[in-house]
Amino acid sequence: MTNPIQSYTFALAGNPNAGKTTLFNHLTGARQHVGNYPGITVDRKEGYLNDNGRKITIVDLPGTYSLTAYSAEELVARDFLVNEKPEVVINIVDASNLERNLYLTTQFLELGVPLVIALNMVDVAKTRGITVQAEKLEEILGVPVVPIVARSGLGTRALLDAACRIAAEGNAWQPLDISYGDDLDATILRLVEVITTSRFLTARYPARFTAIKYLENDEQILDRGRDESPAIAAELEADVARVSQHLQKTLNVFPEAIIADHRYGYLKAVLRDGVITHAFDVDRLYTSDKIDKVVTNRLLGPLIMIGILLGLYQFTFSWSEIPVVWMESFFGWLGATVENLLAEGPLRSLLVSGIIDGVGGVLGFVPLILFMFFGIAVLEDSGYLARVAYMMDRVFRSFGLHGSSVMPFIVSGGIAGGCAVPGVMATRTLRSPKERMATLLTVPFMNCGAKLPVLALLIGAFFADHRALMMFLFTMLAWLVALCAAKFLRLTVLRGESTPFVMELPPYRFPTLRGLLIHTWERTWQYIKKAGTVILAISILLWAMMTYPGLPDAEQQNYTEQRQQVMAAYPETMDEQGGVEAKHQVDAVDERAALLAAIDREESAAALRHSAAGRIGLALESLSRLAGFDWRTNIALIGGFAAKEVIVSTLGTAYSMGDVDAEESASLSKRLQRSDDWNRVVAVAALVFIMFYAPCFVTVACIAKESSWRWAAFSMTFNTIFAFGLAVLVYQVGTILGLG
Amino acid sequence: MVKKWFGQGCGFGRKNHNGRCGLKACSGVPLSAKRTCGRTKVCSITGDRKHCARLAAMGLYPGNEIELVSAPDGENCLVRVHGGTISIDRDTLDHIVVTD
Repeated sequence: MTNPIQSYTFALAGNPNAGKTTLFNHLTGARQHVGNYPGITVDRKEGYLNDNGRKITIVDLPGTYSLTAYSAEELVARDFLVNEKPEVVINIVDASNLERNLYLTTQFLELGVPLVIALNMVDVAKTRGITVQAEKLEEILGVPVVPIVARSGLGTRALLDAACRIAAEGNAWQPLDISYGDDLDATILRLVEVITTSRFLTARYPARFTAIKYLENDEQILDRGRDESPAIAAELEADVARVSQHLQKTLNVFPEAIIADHRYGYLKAVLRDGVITHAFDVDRLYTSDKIDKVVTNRLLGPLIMIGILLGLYQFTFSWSEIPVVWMESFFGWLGATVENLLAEGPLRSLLVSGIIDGVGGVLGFVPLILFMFFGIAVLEDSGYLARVAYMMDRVFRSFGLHGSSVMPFIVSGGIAGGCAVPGVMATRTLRSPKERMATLLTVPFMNCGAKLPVLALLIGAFFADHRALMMFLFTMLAWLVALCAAKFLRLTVLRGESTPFVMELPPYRFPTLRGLLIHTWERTWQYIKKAGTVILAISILLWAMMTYPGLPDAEQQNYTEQRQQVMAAYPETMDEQGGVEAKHQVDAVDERAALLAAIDREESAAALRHSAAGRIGLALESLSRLAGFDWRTNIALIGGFAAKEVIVSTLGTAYSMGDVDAEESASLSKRLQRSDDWNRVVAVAALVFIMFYAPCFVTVACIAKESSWRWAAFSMTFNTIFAFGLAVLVYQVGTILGLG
Repeated sequence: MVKKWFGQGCGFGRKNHNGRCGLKACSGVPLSAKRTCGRTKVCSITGDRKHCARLAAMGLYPGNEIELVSAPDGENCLVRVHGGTISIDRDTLDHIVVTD
């Protein structure tokens, strides 16, 4: 007889930033994004592991401070616990900040879930002079307490064993009773009596837990109560209202403040009971706070922030310069090789102009993206980004946004190189619908990873001497436009009050090399993957649009005749005539090649003009000329509606097809510099348009999903009209001033 | 009856676990008006109930001691409470009264 395979579900729960996702990744081998910033995990995530023949499902819950329904994260976490009833809840607590972290633990104990406490970051606690007696804590709380270091994996074996042991025991949920003072306790007792006798909500929650949530005015539980039994709900609510009103009148507090006070009081008593010892003065400010005094200083803070951003761009551009050139020459070589190997025809054109120029144009920027993401990973993992949110809150508030809007902006590319899709989704942390809409509609203005190649290409081509500074200025411009657009929306269609912003700042931490590499790689890989799939498909589609319909036979014949005329005028046999002046002969050969190349170029340009994309580009040229864009740029900009990366690849294709150079396969940057249709003013106008016009398809679909198709359509039209107006302004003013 | 519970001078009329008076009536200034860093005690918090409850869960509730890491001086500020550092916005600071 064989044993049936045991399968367990363990939930990971804890405060924001306690290390849940780090532990999740360690246990399941997943590569979920971990950041030193609260609220990275909004939804729950599932992972699996096989442990000694046991199949374990690990669920990573969003970080919360309590189990009362004050936010979406708390609802997700609590609903999972009561609906799915996992075999064990692994409560991760930060050992260096036990008091705050155990606050949530008290609520798990009150709910009675089978609990194992993972005492995380014992190493950090040690450096702060804090020693935690795990056995003592275990004895007082009556649940296993396992010291771990999630970053290195220390203690995770013991943690799994403890969790499996609790799961195997399969004991019923045993709620803990915490005293909230004689007076509130009396109220709770009365409520519990009513709840127990009428079996009110008892299928889901323990009676005392429901009573406490009634006192805490937990909206979800109040609603559930009203649905279950309006009469009993009314009776409980009336009792709670009486107590609540009295507390308001006499002490100017709500019951939840008194409950919080007693929970913290209970914890203080637990910790004082020999659980925790401090080697240093308890009241001293930790290094983190000392750094904050300088870094978030009203005057120094913003200066340091600007310095860090400029440094990041300088680092990115200077370190990535050589590898970017390597990549460029590699794709140039690849294109030339394929061109030599294959006979002229649609296949060669597809491979060289469509795929190598298109995808190569995007992949060529991988080193730059890699360095930028590495820099951002350092800022995020060290905890500095949370300080940026704190400092930016003041600015955001005056533009009608919220401190919680900062992270969606940064995720979307606020520093450079993010993605608006997770940015739009990150707006879920905003509680006010109007502030959320204003954020959601303005995050696509940020310089996402897809716009980065365009920025790098045009800045590199036209402002090679001031790349970091120009990058900084364009980033600032993105912020300025996004904030002004938000203000405009908040003054017109999204009028409403601002809501408060309170956030816990994570302590500064030294990023681990492993963490940095994972972050950098996961984001860079996303970029490469997109280039190899979506961008490849769009590049091929655009190539087809730029190739078909081909030139009519009559015109093709015309070019063939022209070539024949040239060849007749400069016969190849000339080479063999010998004896004539060598110089004269070389000149003649050059002349012939130049004439043939000119015909090739003319034919190629005529073919592009005649193609579907060319016709659209030409049709729009009369309008786009106002902003300085020629018809080939128009083709690229139309491609950009699908995905912004395509702009570089399409420009590459359009300029390689319409600008054949027999001598060398020049980089796009050089082709643009040489083109009569481009100069500095056009480059800035194009960048302004590309930065602010309609978001890519995926973002539009995401906006529609998070709000409505009406808002998505609004975002496309509003942004495009606005961006075009701005580009026209830049081009016209720049041209009048003669800056081109 | 209810009056008997809460009517005494010191809030709940009993010492809680850490031996101090939970909710002693105190008068003071809004946190936003504080000009200096250092320790202070929360007297009262007003405003939206849900927001007050969130603050309480983070350790900001009447009777608790907090430490200002940066002086608010009319702007947002950083506060240390129960071992964590919390950033508080201007509007919320206006609603928190602390001892002078």
